[in-house]
Amino acid sequence: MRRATLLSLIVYALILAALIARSGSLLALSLPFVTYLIACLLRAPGDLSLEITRTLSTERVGSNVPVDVTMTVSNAGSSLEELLIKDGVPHGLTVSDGSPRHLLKLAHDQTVTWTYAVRGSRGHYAFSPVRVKAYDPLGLISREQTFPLSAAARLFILPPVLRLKYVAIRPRRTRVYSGLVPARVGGTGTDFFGVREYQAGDPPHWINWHATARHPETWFSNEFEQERVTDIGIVLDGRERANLYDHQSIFEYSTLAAAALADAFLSQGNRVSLLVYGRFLQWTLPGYGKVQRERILRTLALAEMGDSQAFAGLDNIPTRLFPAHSQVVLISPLIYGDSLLLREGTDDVEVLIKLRAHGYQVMVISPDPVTFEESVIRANPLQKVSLPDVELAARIARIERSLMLQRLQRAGIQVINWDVSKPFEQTVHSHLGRPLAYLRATGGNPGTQAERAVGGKR
Amino acid sequence: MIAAIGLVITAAAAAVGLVFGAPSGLRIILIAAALGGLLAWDLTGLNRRLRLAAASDDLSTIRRHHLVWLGLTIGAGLLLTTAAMLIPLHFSFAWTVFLVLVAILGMAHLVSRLYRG
Repeated sequence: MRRATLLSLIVYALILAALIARSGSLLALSLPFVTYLIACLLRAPGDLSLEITRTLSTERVGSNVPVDVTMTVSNAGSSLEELLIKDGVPHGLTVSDGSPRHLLKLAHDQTVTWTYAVRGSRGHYAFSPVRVKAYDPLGLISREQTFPLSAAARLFILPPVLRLKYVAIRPRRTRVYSGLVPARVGGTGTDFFGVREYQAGDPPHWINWHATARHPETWFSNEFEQERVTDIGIVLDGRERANLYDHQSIFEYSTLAAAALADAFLSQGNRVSLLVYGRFLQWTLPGYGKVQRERILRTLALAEMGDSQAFAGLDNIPTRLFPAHSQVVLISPLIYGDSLLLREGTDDVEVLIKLRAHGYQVMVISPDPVTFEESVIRANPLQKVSLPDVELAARIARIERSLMLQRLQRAGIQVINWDVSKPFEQTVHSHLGRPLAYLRATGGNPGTQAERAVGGKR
Repeated sequence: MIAAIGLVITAAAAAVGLVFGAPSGLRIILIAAALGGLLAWDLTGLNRRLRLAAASDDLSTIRRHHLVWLGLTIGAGLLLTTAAMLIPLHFSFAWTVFLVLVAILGMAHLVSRLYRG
């Protein structure tokens, strides 16, 4: 019951009782209550005429980094005896310092400013309007108002971006601009590509003297492999079934990998696009440079897991979004082919093999769900599962996964099995940080290492 | 909630005591108890509001301001009650009905304004 209602009822009851009993003293008893009501009414807050501004120290920040929110409230109206101001902190953010809520007395033309700090995990957060409640000096009458601020404060908490030194890829087709990706075309470059007949204008140090000596009738020059930029499409698998293990999500690791790879590819000058494949498709158009990096990071900040019947399998990846023969990087824990929920022909492995058959250079970065789930089960003391059973189940699952990854490798798909307990940079460095000559020697697919990584767990 | 129940009980007890003609000494105690109930109820409300404040808020100003207002209000109410009980005024039945109607209408207006606020 509201305080004002209770007091009004008491006053009415006393007056009515005084009337019925014809008792003057009872009427006199009601006088302090009436005085209280009148006093509150006399000092009741009128229309709130406040100017409120909210400023964030930054609009984009890394995970769990504190962001200062500065609130300024000016009172252009009459003096307010008790004013409760509550800022609309979005759900998901935690207040790490200060308070978004303040109770204060605000005189006419007075301005107050305070700062509090929030932090949170990856995501996009929009602040709600500020709620203000003004009371009379005795707190009986209140006036509540919300103040939607003119500039809606939004906070992007971006995934952490790991700096990868070098990521070696070998797509079948490159773009015309020079870059760092071997183009499979002879010309100027750094890596030896072949020998051709000397052409006028070739620098003298290009002349291959050995070949020229063997064939005195003509001269030969060394040819180097051109390095260009390329189109890279990153596909982030956001399917809940592929990412949720024992109520724990491995999706954050996939997001981390996507951010690190996008950053590395863009810093090499490539044209990168991102497709988040989950409840729906979230497509970031291809682009270059820092602006594209920001677009991709913002998309990753918004990326969420989800399930939909249409995107249960990877067969609905819109391959037309990626230029023909370009590099496609799929970041997914992958779903095993025997899943009952998958339609026929939508097994992840089959879809990837088809993608490869269409001419795309496919690379799969797969956060290892078996090791992840095993560690989750072991870390949870409430799990009533015997450890030998867990070990046996993990061993079987690992063998299944190993066979699946080997199928992919045999199809010419580059597979990187990432044990998420190890740093991503380390995994990338050992698999993709090799010199290009090494990759060329192994057919552009360091599968043996991936096999070792998988096989080593057995 | 307990403060609200206490307020209702003390007001009702005072009303019953006054209606059934309690001795003058007890009357003062009953009225003081009703005012005490009002005070306790008010201060409970203040405490509840102060709990919403941040640690850095200047609560002493708000508290002091509130107590001043409360003291003035209760003092004025007590003065009016004492005056009403000490100075006997006699009205005819018609005047009594008129004054009570005016009081009820006035209260209704007051309460409606209070709700509009």
